[in-house]
Amino acid sequence: MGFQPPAALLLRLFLLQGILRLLWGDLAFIPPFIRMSGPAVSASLVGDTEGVTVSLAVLQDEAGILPIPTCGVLNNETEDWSVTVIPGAKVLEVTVRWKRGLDWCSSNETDSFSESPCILQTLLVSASHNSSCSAHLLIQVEIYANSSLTHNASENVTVIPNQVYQPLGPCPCNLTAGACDVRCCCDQECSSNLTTLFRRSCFTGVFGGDVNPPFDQLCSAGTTTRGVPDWFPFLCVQSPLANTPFLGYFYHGAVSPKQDSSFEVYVDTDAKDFADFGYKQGDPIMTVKKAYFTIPQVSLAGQCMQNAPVAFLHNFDVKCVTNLELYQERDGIINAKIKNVALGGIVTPKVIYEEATDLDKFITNTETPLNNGSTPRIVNVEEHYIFKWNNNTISEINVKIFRAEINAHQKGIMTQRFVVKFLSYNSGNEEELSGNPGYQLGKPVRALNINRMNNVTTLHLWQSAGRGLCTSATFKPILFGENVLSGCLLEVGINENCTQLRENAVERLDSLIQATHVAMRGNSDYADLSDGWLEIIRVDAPDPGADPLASSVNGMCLDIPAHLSIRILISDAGAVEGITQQEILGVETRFSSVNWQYQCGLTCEHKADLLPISASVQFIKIPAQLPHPLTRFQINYTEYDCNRNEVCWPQLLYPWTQYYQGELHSQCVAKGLLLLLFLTLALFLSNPWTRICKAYS
Amino acid sequence: MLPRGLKMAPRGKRLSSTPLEILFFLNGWYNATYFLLELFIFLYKGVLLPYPTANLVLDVVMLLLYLGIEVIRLFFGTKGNLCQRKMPLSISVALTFPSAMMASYYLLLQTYVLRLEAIMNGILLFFCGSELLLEVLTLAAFSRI
Repeated sequence: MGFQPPAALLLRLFLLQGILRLLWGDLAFIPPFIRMSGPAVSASLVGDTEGVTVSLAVLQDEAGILPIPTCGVLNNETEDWSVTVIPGAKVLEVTVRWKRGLDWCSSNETDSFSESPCILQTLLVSASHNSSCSAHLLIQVEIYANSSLTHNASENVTVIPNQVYQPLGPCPCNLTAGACDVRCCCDQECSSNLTTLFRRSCFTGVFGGDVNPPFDQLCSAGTTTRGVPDWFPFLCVQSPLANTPFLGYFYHGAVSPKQDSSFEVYVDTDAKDFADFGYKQGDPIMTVKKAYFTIPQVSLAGQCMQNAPVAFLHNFDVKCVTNLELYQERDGIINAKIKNVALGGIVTPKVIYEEATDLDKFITNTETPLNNGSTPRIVNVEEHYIFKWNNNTISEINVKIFRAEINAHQKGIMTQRFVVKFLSYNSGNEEELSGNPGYQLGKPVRALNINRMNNVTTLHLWQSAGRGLCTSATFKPILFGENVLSGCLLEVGINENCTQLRENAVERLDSLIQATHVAMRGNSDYADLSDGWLEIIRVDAPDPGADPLASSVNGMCLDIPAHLSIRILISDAGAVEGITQQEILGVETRFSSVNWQYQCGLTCEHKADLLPISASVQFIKIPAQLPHPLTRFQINYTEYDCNRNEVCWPQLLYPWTQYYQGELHSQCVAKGLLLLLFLTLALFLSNPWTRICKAYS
Repeated sequence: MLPRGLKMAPRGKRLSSTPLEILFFLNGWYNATYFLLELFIFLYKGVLLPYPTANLVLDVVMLLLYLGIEVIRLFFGTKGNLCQRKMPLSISVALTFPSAMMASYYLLLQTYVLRLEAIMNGILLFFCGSELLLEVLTLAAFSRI
């Protein structure tokens, strides 16, 4: 794209400026670069925010030309974009919003262009302090017309073929989904190497998948079962069993067909009702009125989809940003009733309403109307749904709604939160599992602290906010399989010595790993230490009092433990119904040291400097089996390796070798023979042969 | 005296193939026996085995078509060989391929293939192959005039 070169260069410039200015307490945008995929985006302006003016400019898309960031044109809005500034505690929340709405995308373009981005622009937000440019925010806008959901409720229906010719369930011994059944030779999930192990012990008869038994006139059947007349070897049937006379007769109920089966086409225009046959994972939940049960969800591009169906057994926790002027109540959905297959009745959601406190978390006010006499309006700021499921149906629905009263004409942005959880009908208040038995991706790593009374815990990382200080950072759990790097800024006073600084840094980093053991599996029992609990291997920080001579030289501190590295070894540990289960083999925490010097300006008055400390989590996968060692031929003669050479000998006759997978092999052979036929015809009808035939006749 | 336009081979220079004529003679009698036996075999299969009616009618109709192709093929082959004419012999060569296709159908693809049918169709395929080879050689000999 033409946007990439200037955006990348500006990205590096703003990242560097932001970090440097934050250390001196100047203005800075956090984050300094945003890739925008929805109609609104927000950033925090930290620093000395008094008397700050924010302006917006649309950068031109000329490749290779870097625009000079200017604050001369102080405009808060363009014809397409608007900027709003909400003051907070030492922070300004800057929100950039697309004013036309996303209907502008679908009205101008047809459906065939839905894959290309509809809005593609680069915005520059500048912050001015005392008529001088202080900070810049670069926004790369890529908004697509059609967005797909992150939790897709699929409507795939299994097509049942005509059972006369394809019996339903032709392999009765295939009892496990996604895995090979031993001694079941008709199981398609068994590889050829695995079938070789038990080929001589396969199940025979109908249970082994032989749904077409041999008939009496078959040549192979006659020699094994009973005595045959003398003419049998000549008049026995030797055609294969695909032409068996018993094919399909089971379903006709007679030896010979009475009538031809008529072909019927059934067109169903209603939504497919899965509740009548029972839900399976991923099916959309249906109501009694044969409609989808919808809850607002977030699409892959970050948009808020108001009427998204809920998929069975898919938990989610989303935040939707809506405009208060466009907000509408969804009471009709709350009162929807869901069909219950097992009980033969319906399930009515039990709704509990609570008043929401601290509206500043949900609603950002931009205007307060002067008309105070209007009636208040009620908005839902949080909705928590708990679905109790039993086998393949839903037995109970509990809804907790947090509401708030606002003015009827109040304007602003509201952030709603929707949480959906699926619980089994017999689940109590046990600790939530991270998988059963192996870990699931995205679930918290379960940890244990045997030195405390309340020993249920997990490993944490920082989630910085505001100025990014360690004192205001909150914790977030470490999720299985996700490598994370996070950090915060530690304030250092001018009177602190190096030993004190080291102790503070170690104390901050240790607060993340307040655990002694980590669960090997996702379902390890907290009360039983021998149920798969691994002790965390800790490599301690060096002595904080070491090397005191260098501590007072120009404010230099050596060996400050500023980085915590958490390494988690994982491995595959078998499969359950074909799904690979992963477990943790070991956890190691280690500190890394840096040399740090106190930075002050012209004067070293009572001013605190900032030491950045960080923590990283790395998941290292250990293969369950040793990889095959390379042969000497494979190591030395690399000319046959297709990945290292430009000439690939197995691909020389490409369409007709097994390496080509673009089409079926039989189709490739057929097309090759057709081409050969055309070449032969052209050869025999060409001039030399025609003249030879004329000479002979 | 013959009419003008027709020319006879010179006396004493006969190019007809005697092995080909022997094969055509034997194939004619064999085909007559084959079709009579096939009718009785289809009667046997229709009575004893659960033969679908549509399949039975299809197989018998194709058998009659096969009989027509064979009669035409043998007639043109014999006439072309004895009269030393290339065009009838070429027609016979061309009809050998659908004839072999029909024999292959009755050997492999019909609803119930008895072992007797397999043996008889194998012999028919042998006849087709041998006659095809000798017909090509005879055509080459005719073209060398």
